[in-house]
Amino acid sequence: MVIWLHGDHLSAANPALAAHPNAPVLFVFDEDFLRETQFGFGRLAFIYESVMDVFAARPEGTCSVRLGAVVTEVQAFAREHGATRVVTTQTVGERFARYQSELKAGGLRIAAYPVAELVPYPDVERVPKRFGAWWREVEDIAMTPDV
Amino acid sequence: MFDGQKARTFAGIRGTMRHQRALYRFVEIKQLRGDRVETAAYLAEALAGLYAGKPEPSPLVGGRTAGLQRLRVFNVAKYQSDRNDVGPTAGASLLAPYLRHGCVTLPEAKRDAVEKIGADRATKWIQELAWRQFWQLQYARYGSRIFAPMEEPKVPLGAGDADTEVPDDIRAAETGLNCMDISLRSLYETGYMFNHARMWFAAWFVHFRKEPWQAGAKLFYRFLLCGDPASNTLSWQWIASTFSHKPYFFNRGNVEKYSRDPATGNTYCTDCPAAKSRTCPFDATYETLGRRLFGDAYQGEENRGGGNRNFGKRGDMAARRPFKRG
Repeated sequence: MVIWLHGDHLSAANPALAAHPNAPVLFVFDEDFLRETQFGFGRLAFIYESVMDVFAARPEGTCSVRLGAVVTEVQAFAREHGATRVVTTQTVGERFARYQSELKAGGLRIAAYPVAELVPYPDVERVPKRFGAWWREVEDIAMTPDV
Repeated sequence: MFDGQKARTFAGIRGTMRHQRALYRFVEIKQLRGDRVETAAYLAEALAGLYAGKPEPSPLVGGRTAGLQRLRVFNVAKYQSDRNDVGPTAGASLLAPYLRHGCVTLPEAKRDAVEKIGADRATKWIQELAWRQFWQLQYARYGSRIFAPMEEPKVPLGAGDADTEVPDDIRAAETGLNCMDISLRSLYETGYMFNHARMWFAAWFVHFRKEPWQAGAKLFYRFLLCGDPASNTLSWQWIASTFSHKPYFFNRGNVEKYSRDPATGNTYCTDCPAAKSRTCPFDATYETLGRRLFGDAYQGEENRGGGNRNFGKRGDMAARRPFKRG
């Protein structure tokens, strides 16, 4: 089993990493996406530093950061480690969903761990379009100290 | 070619590759944890062609370790009162990049504030954290539809092509308006812009310049360390009135109030060329500006407010009209 670390949960305490403290970890700089988007350099450096901070908490020699196509790199990394299972953290966005389904289609089993939210809100179809209306729904839970 | 680059062939993968490359090649990036300048020089080469701007790191260091350190020193009580200031008195948390990349989680950021001053005194901060989840929920619900107008605009917007880049004066941070140029330089050089300044810039870009909000959203997304598809895109739509009941705009009085340095009395307007030449486009009452910008579509000040938005934090609309609790 290997861990695919992506840019939305760059914390050594994220649930995928915490659940598998010795598993190999891969982060991929998504080459085509970066070439098209042209982020400011500071953003890439911030992400890189965040990845290094995660790796510092992992066993020596188990982590890799690569530049390329995400799906291809994750597949190759799994193959290098003889893994058929990939673990990551759940996030929104079509790029993540697409990569996840491509990895599945390529024969890997993939588990995406949910990450703690401010308030539980499982039914996204119910979310109102205005913050005020949503806040009135969740305020009591959000303002509870221990949640 | 830089050190650490490797080329390998995995014959077994060739058949399943989407791209018709002859070889499967991957680039292993070195793992450096030393001097930030040396790391930046290495990354500049390793990621050549894949970024914009000068290859210099932001003053904000990436990672959970740095994020937790920032959380420890974060003055949440000051945030409650001074979050809308820009400049030396600003109460901004500078935590947005860490929250956006998950270095620090929303529950952690809330828990820290609750421990410091109690939940009831940390309402504004917790609401700001809630804004982030709110935008993520919209993205989860609507997917890539958030990149197109979510609703009809409530006022006339510019008719420019959504795919254009921002004009050259904005790219160069030479607009002749101090409030914009100071904020844009901060964006380009540090990857950070005060939330209130983001709102000023977005309102100016969309409503005064009549540029397409998509172009401004793309600029912020590319350069803000906390650039996030959901928070950023939908905040621009909130400003534009395609995801809110009314447009956001501001006047010079608002800039002066929130950019005042108490030590000197100076504001962003003090040395502004546009103020000196009396060409400041914001130097009018809200009524006058509203009519000038939106004509008959302007609803008047009595019908404004009640909204709120943030670019990862909060805006001054809510400061004037805080949400009722209980």
